[in-house]
Amino acid sequence: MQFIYIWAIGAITYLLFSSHSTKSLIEVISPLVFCFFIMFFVNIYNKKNIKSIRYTAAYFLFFAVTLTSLFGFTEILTGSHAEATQPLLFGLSFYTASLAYLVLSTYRSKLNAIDVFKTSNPFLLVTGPISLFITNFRYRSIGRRFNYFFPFFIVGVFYYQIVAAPLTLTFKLIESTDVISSLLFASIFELFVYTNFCGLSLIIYGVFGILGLKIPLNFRQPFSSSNLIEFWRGWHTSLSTVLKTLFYSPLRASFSSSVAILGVYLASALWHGFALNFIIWGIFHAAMFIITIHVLKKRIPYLPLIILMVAVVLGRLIFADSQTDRLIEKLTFSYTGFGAIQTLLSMKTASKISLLLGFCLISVEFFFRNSKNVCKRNYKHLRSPITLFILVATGVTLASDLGNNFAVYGQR
Amino acid sequence: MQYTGSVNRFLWNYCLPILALFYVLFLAFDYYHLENNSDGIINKKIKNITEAKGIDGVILGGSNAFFSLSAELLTIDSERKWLNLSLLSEGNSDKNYWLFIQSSLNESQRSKVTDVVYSSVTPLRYEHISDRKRSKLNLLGEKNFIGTLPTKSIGYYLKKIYIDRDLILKKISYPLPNNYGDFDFSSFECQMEDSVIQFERNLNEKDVSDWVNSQLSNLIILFPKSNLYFVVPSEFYGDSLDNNKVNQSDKILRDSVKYFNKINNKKVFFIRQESFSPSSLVCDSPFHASSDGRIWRTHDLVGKMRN
Repeated sequence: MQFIYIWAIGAITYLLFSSHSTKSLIEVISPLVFCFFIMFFVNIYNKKNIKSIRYTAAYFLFFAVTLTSLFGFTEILTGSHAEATQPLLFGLSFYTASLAYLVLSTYRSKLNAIDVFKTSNPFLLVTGPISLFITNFRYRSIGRRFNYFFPFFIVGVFYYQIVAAPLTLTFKLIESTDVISSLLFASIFELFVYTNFCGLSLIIYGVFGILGLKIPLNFRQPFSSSNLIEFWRGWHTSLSTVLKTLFYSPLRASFSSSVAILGVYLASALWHGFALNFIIWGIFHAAMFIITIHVLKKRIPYLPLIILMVAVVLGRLIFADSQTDRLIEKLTFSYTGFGAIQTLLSMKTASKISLLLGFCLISVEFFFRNSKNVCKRNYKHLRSPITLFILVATGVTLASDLGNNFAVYGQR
Repeated sequence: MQYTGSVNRFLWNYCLPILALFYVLFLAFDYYHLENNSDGIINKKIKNITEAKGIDGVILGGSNAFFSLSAELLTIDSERKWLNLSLLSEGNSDKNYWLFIQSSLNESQRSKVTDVVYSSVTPLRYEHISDRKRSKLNLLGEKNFIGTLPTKSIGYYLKKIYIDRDLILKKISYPLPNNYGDFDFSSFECQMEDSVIQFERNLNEKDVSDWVNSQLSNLIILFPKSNLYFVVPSEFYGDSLDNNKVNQSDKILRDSVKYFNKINNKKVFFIRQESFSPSSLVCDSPFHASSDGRIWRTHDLVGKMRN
């Protein structure tokens, strides 16, 4: 019953904050209907809990969004779509990934209505398959829950609205193909994706916590990492868990770890949609990951950090641009001067301030990663009353409706 | 430790709630503090329509057409009655704008219009097409309710105070248009800020083509018996102009209009207006002409319409 109640809260909140009532209603209802349909379909065909049927169903569900993007029903997920193009399939990637995980990992022969209401919660359809890991802790008083979780909400709003939203005004840099513009855009876009997605995840973490439901932290200060492996442990953790269960563990049982890693990254790439740049990104990141493992084994100083920086920026450059000819041009790294800096400087003051704030937050995560409040990787350094006061005061001063505040992983 | 605890409690129990309350009050201030006199301009344009005895031609579009095209000059030049029905920010969304045209000009008036000039910057701005689709603002630029975010930040007003204390409550109000709907430069001082000159182009072929198709379809429904002129407006970008991107953008627009004509068996005319040069021809933005710039751009348009 409580998941129906939480679903209803999610639906009402989503409808209240959206501008197109009919479209939003479709976006709220269709995941629920599709999830029920999938539940019946899986339960009918998997009456005897046959392993091969379970696996087929799980992988079909996981790659459903790859197929819809291949046939043009959904867009690919580069991160720059501000509006879902197909409301009927809103949130498809997240609820199918969640259901795929449930089909394969729970060893239950049947999905049930609780699974459906958990996975189709409108709150959670923009933050990844996080609904899988909800635990109840209402035994704690509302006051204690509020004191602990409300700071997460404040930090989330700051990331999402004050830092990320004005950065969308810099997106036109994607069109420039010279090396400086390309790297600058990749760095800003990485910052945008992180602050947008992490901010939204922290908001939902805070709201659910106050309601008495604990979900995992979807981001764990990825920029507090000193190598690529640590980085991925802190980035979109709910999807990482699904990928590990669906791909890494089965592949590792039969192949080397390198093959398993490549499989995971290719699966992740295809989950974002069927596009050449994603496949290049998958291969590139898998290669960087494997190289990092070897470098760490040989204990070469600083090299893991250099690989991390290259992988993150270059990876984002590849990931963000689905126009193949433009991407190839970018990857020639042609130098035409520092015009991009001039373009950046001519942008609105709000965007420049957001950029500065974003890089400051990331710098704190990185340079103070071994300090007491940062090393726990749960944003504790931003949750002390004095830091919260600074964040709120800055937020109140800078808040405006400039830029787009869309859920970067919620729209295709 | 005890000292730190009381500071924390003070911040948590007093400072944060005071900030929150201050923010709510600011939201209310922002909601009632519209800056551009849109309501007055719209009312005057509607009044012009009611007072006009037969309308032969209309200028449609956003502020680029409001500032930079003159219905009065077109009327003198063609000896037929023109009205400028362009609005600031083109009514904030396409839906708002077409509803405004539909409701302010009745069907009989629209059917008698023989020439329609539509000049919009929407396809020239990056992401402007989708921004207008998402817009929650009404025709006047108001929100339907007090939102969670102000249109201008407190920082913006603080900057204003820093520059000039008197500016804090002074509205940047555009003057009412004349009886043709043209911008009244005699009551407005042109001043260009460097920060507004940012060269942009939307080079997404699908987005632009879909948008052109949608706009022209609406125009044909509203003005079934008119000659339609789809105009790419003049602009001033100085050194930051990227000719390569301008050419790409023009090609996408020209091809989109051509494609629309082909599949609908229509003849919409495509006009690309020259850039403003020198800078004295612009007022307060790259698309807003000064008084001289408007004369120049209107004559350029007339020349191209005749060809």
